[in-house]
Amino acid sequence: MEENENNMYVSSLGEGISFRSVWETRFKDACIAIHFVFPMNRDDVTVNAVLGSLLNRSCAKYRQFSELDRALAMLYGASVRTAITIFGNCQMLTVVIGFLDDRFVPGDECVSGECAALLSEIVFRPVVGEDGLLFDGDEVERALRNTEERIRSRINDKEEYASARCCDIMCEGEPMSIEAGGYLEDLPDITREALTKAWRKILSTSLVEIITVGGVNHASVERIFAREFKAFDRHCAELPRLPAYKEPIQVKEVTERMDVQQSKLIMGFRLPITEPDDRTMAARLMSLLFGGGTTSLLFNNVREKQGLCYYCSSDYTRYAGIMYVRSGIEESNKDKVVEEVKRQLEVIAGNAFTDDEFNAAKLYMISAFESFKDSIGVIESWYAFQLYDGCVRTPEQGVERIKAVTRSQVAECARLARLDTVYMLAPEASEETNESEGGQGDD
Amino acid sequence: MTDGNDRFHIHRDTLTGETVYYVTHPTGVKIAICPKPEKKIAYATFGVKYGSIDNDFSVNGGEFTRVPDGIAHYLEHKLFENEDCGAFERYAKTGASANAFTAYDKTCYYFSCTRHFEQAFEILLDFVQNPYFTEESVQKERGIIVQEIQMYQDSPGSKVYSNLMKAMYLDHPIKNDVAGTVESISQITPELLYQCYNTFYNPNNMVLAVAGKVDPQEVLAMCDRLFLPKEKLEIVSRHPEDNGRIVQPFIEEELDVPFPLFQLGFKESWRQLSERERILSGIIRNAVFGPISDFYDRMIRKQLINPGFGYNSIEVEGAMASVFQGMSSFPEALRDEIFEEIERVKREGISPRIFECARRSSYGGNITAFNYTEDIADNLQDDIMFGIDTFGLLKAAASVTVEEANELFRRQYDISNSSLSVVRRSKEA
Repeated sequence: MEENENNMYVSSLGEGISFRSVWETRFKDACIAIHFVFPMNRDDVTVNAVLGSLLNRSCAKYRQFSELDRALAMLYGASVRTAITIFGNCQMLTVVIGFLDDRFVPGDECVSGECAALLSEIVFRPVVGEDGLLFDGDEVERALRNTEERIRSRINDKEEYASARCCDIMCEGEPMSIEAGGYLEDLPDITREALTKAWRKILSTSLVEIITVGGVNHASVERIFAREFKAFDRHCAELPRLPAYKEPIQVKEVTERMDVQQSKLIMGFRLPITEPDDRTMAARLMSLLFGGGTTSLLFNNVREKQGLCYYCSSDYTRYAGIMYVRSGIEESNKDKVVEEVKRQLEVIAGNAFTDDEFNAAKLYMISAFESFKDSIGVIESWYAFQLYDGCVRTPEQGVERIKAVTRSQVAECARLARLDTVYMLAPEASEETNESEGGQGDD
Repeated sequence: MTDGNDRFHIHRDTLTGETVYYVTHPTGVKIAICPKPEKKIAYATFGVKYGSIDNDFSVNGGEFTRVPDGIAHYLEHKLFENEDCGAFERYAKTGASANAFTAYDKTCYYFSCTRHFEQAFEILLDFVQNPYFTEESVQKERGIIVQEIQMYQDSPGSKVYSNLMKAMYLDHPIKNDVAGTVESISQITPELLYQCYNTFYNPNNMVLAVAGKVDPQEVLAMCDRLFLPKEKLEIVSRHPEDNGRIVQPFIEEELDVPFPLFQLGFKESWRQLSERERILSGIIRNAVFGPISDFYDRMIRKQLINPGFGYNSIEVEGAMASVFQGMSSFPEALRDEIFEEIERVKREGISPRIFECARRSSYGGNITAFNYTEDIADNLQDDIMFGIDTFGLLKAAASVTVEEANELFRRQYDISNSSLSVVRRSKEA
């Protein structure tokens, strides 16, 4: 156990269960989050997605969603959110409760204490049927239908759809292409038995991170969760190593057509840099300089100078070593945009960007890191997402790492980036454009 | 040197612990500053009470001018460019994160930063007050904005909303998209942009709000140095007379969506809402139709809504409505259920227990609205622009009663004045 200058208290609540409490009185709200991290498995993603959507809808104490929601409303609008995220080869199931800080609660109600207790009810005591299985049958049926609607409606957001298609094509057979939101074909097999099994497995075998941020009494939260986990025979699985780098052999070019007005261009690049590599910060800065906002080369050249798009941005995932460039364009401008994107990456690789551009990206990133401390939610996820980083750093330490990145390190990262896939979602072919597209993998 | 605090009207709020410094600058710009020294971020937003609905106006009692739809948004894009270089390029030296947006009734330019506040603030005030448009630069921007318009046209969510506005409003410009159309923006010229700029971007029509790690006196001193005085103008922005009734009760468009999307709007006659009415309207929506209501639970069980069901309100001068939205396989059946529930609640009233849940939730929400520098400044700016007492809202949330809610509810939600907009796949498909 330790308490350091960042008002941070850290302890372990048993095998693979870490507890972290960040004491902050600068906010009017607070939160308690519990994260379960486990290896990504294609066979489990759908059941886990459905489980995630069920957990915050009821518990043994509040069997109906409306009852649970009323209890939260009475706690001055507390809220429980669940999320499933993927990083690298792992999935993370998060259940987080956010609430008004006790200092702002009228009267002497201890909202933080009640919320800690409620979170443990939700996570550890879901509704149990007479047959001993978890959840209410009707509620499960509704959750399955909602999951189906959610999966099928992905197509409504064309940018998200195009990005997912690019990822499918680029990372076929790799864990990164697995959809955390689940698959339609799995839904018929998701029963209360399957959900009960998935819940037990997650609570018994996941790596657990419990994080509180705000004016929360850590001793009482620690006590609650230590007691709850005692009921589980825990044997925590090792986290798998992050996916190995896969050098692209040939650029995959795919154009798909749909009833859209604007074409979505997604370019997928691979970098052999994943956590806990020392170069990840340089790679993040490289991506920011390349296409991370209004100071970037892509914004200034593809949008501002050439007027080819409304947005053209890049983002790099340090758990997968993948960088995407995304833009919404006129189909006829595709070649121009692709060429300009490649050209700008070469500018970085050739260390030919200006000092102003480099310093702007650096300053922008430093400001972003410094501002993390202004949000309870961002502080919480800052600590939750460091599992693969080799050690836990504060945002201030993050800022120091950014400052240390040099021009040549950034250029080196750009030199290592390899274009893997160029995906385009384009309007349905009109008479004039209905011609052979050429290239590999077109349909 | 600064003038001390005597130029400010200072409000110290006991419920939130916040202090806000208000002043109307000699140039006419209204200013609100909420210092939060414990924060890392400083945030400033400089806004003009001018949006997409202000497309027919007269200055100092002169003739009315009708300008192309989407011009306020076009102007927002173009202001970022000055003669020598663009605002983004200048901001780049400060590390600030800057942007702008145009709404129906306002255009706001903002930045947040953790360092170099002074420089960033100077850039903000400078580029917003110094327009520079040329034929060439206006032409170049067109391609960017066309892409922005097309991006929204590919979103079924934007479509279902945009159709609802057309079903509810015959002439009010709220029926037009903020960015205009590819056709309307093709008529925009540098001259028209200057005309709109010189009309609306007048200090008396502008509001500056700042929050976070700042010193109010230093901010005011910078304003003294940087605000450009201009002659006060009498601006009249007119909107075609609205008879208060919807155009059509139902509108449908066929799009290739897996499940129907709907928006159901209840039109109301526009009026300035009191702080209590404003707070009550939100509490009512939550108590009668939200996840804490019996209605919501019933609709979930009947499979007429899913957890994406939500609601909000529309409030711009001359147009006011409550809107429900989501995905439903049977939007018409859901609408009928909402109608029935409205009639029932009008007869029987809102459950006092559920009202108290919604009231507490609203109270908590109005406290946490003072958490983030960005939210604080945005809210202060809005409230000044549209005559709302920011701290009055919180006081109202602490004291409104179920009797008041029932009284207001009976005046809202006229089912004979509602429109349902649906986007779904063609029946043949």
